[in-house]
Amino acid sequence: MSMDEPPQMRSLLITQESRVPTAVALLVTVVIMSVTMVDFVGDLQATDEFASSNPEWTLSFDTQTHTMQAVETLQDDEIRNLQFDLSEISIPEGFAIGSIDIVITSEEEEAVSVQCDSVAGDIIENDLTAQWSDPVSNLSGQDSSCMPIDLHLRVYPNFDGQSTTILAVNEFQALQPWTETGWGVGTLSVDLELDVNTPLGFVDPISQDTDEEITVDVTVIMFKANISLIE
Amino acid sequence: MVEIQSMVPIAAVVDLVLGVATLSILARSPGTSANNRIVGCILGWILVFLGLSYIMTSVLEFRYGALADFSAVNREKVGGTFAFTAKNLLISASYMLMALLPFFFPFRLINRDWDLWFLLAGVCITTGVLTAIHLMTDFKHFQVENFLFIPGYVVLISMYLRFVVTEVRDNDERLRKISVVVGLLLIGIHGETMTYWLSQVLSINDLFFQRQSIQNGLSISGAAWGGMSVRLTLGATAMLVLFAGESWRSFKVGLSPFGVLTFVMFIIGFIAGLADVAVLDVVRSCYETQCESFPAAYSIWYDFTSEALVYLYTPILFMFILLHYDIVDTKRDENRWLIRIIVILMLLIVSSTILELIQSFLPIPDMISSAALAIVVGVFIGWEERIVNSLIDDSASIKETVPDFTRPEMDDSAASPRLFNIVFGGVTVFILIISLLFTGLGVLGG
Repeated sequence: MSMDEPPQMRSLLITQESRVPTAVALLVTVVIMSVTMVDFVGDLQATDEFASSNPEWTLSFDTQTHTMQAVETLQDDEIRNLQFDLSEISIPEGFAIGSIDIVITSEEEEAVSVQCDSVAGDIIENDLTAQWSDPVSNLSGQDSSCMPIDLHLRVYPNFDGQSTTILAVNEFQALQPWTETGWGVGTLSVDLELDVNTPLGFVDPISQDTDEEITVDVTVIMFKANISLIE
Repeated sequence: MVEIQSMVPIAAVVDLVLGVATLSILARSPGTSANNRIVGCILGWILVFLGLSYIMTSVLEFRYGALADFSAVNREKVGGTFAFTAKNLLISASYMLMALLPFFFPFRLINRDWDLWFLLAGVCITTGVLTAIHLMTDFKHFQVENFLFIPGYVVLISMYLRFVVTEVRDNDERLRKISVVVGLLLIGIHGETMTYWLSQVLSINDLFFQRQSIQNGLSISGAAWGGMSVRLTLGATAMLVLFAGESWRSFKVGLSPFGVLTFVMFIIGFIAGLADVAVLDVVRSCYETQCESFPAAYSIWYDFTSEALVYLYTPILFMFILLHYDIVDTKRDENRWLIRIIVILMLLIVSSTILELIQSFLPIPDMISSAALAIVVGVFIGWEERIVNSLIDDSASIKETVPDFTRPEMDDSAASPRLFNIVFGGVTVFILIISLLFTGLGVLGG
């Protein structure tokens, strides 16, 4: 087309010279559109499966324990604090502290003793990172029947050691709640209190029953979460 | 340093001010030709629809928190709200006008008596149809309207190449004005996707959409993803065509300001593509493990390029087209003061936003940024007349520039701005009422 053609006849979209570059441009557009559309459709299907599937996983725990013991002799009406430094525990690779069980036992046995002494134990809340407000945590106990006192502190959120099934889009997200760090850091503090009970009607002329040997067994439960897809 | 803040409220103000001012000037310019009135009304209403949509986005931001990556909204949080519904429907309406714009500017291609009614009825009918589809499917197919851009894209690409080739062949400088305005329209319509050209050529944009779908709980629809893919491809190939055309023209004729703009955008897209490849692990993390955040540098880059182009530079680009191609009557004294106010206002708003953005990653004290803003204000006030005059004095309509290409004008009484304002105002009211009604009825978001 040249300028001497009648004005109304001049093409606005294409000329002989622009035909090839325009065709090439549109061809490139079609090729890129086709290639990317195929990719988009592939990812659309993958995303659709990802978003719509929420498979079930079996969650189980490998556990290991570490025990610590303290034997203390308390006098009547004495309160004594015991400290257990959890940093001294060697935690295996991939494991985390899940919970702590404490058993407080006195030397007296019910069948032997006429009157058991009263023993109380408390886990003292401090800066140890644990689930202090969790209803499962049993922080105080008291006994005067010569029975052991069981205390429990849940350290890792929701850890109970039981296998369960969960829903998650992939393995990573299924394990995500069980890979937190920072729980169980600090010192476990336990208070013991003794109140010696003299049998009613008996006089202890030489004051022999004025103390008690108390054993504190601390069991630290460590866990590693395992996940497997339920087919 | 200041926290990075959203540009959406700024874009809302800028677009609305420019849109309303354009419509206002058109209404006060009885001497404007019918073709220019149509184009002015289309551009004005595109800006109004975009401005209103950005207002809705701002409401979502203020009420439900900042937008996610790439300005996406979290469907799980905001789905079914009035602002979300209205935002999407207003965007749809602006897309329809953008899709039809190439048939009226720079040339009225169909050039029949019925093309005006085709424009008005087309926008009304497609708004009604798309609104019904989106409301019934809870926006599952939103972005399907991107397919409407294909005819306009073919027109603009053909026209750009036709005028570049003829300009170089005939050494006809007048034709440059046409290829420039066609290029500017391509940037105005496909600007954001042009900055993703390398990623689209490498076909990795789908991974970004996969991430967004998972992260924001978007419903999956083949039509919607197809629409997104089409839009990205049109932007990428438009960028490649502009780059090839401007390179060839620069070699034959010499470098031009529009050529520089094209090369800058090409380089931005190239860097953005490399950056996208670099963060692919982060992009895939949502699918393979769990969503990781993008590095701060990547987000800043996105803010400065793609987002700034959409929110800040596109309105300026439309303003340039309106003034430089004499679509609104810039010669009348009554309009001149309003044009001056708009130009200075927009340049100042955009400059101050850019300064804030720079402050977000460079530790510039407030005192220095205030001083820099004062310098910018001083420059704009001092050169206000020169800036405005350079825009207006060199302006010429398409008809004046290339009379041998223009088709006969339609009857002056045929395209009154009042008619456009009534029809598109009606579309706006329809969108707002139906959004209010459907969200009130609890139909959406379930």
